[in-house]
Amino acid sequence: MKLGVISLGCDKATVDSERLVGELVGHGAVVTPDLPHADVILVNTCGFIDAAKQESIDAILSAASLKAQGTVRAVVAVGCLIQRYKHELQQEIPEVDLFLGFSDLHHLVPALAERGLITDPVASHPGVRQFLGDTPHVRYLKISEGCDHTCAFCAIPLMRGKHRSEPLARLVHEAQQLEAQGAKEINLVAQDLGHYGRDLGPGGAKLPDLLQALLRETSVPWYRLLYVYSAGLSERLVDLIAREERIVPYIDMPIQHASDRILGRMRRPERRQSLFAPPVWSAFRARPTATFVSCSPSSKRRSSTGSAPSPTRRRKGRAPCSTRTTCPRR
Amino acid sequence: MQYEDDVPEEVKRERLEELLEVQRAISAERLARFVGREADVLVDRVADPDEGGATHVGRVAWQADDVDGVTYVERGGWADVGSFVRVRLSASEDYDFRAVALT
Repeated sequence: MKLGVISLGCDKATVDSERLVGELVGHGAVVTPDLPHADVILVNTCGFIDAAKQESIDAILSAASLKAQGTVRAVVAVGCLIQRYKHELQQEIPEVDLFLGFSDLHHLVPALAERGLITDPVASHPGVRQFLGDTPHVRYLKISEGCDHTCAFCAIPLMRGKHRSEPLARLVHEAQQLEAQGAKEINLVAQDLGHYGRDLGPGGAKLPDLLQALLRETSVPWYRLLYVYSAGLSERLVDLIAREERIVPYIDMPIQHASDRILGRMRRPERRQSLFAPPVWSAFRARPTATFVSCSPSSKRRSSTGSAPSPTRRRKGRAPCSTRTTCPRR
Repeated sequence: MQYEDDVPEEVKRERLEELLEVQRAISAERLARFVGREADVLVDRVADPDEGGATHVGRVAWQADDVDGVTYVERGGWADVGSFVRVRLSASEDYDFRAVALT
């Protein structure tokens, strides 16, 4: 089975695509950039903002039209848009063979086997991620799923549910795979990295434990923390960042607003006072540089391996979420 | 969802542009402070011919992939994509650095 992939949305979605495609490759699929000649086209969608929803729908429609032209035998749509609007999409785009929300993903392999598209139902190498980007040395590791925050402007909890941590051993194993595939930089991603482990029970691993395990069990030269709320910047984490050369001096911390009144209306957890609490600012003194972000919600787009939408890199004058600055130590 | 005191799209756009301009100036000023320093650059790709004489494009540790600016490296020789190159930062722009390889 030749598999074409259109992976849209954020870096968390890229990880989902790589995990899912890895599973299909384990069942004998071969990834092709040539979408018109693929047997199956997998579209991983984004449902975060209107422009991203439209792009996702356009991608599904273009895959459906390739199917109508003949060679493509099945179109599969997964991801956040499907999780949120599955029933509406089923009505509107009946050419799509499978719309799978996050809880239905285990139906994918049996459904493709039923159509004769997968002949080997037993995975040869289960759990090996398939690289889908354009820079194999820069990879993303999603350490948890979902979000326990309830920000007024954000639909992510609707689509991704409550926060659940990936087990530490599985993440270490995945990081070792990424290293074997050539990763020189691994970016830890989640809706809030600081929440890692809060659901793993008393005595369970927390973010510093995960980082220490990753440093110990791999030789990846750069680990980066993308998105830690101020409350998650504990003294232990800051000390670790200060001490460990392989954790880059970069903290991507959302602030959203300087006014408590607006933060309250946004239903954000932080307030001016907590933003200025000591561990947060010692984080910026801990290493020669730290990166500081003031951010309003926007969708980050990642690349596709197909020939449909072209990879987009966010550059100068980008979406609002890019209002960042790099702060050297004074 | 819409707040009762929501402002028109046009005003939102103006505010966004103003904010981006303020941010651009802050970024330009802060990046300028790094010029002259040595740093390691992770090479992301070979430069295109129209990128001001750079041989490689990469990032220093405080530039995240797909988020921040990049570093244009000159005289990078045969450095491979995915390798680290020691550089001296020679100039800064609003969001990007220019650098000269030291090896």
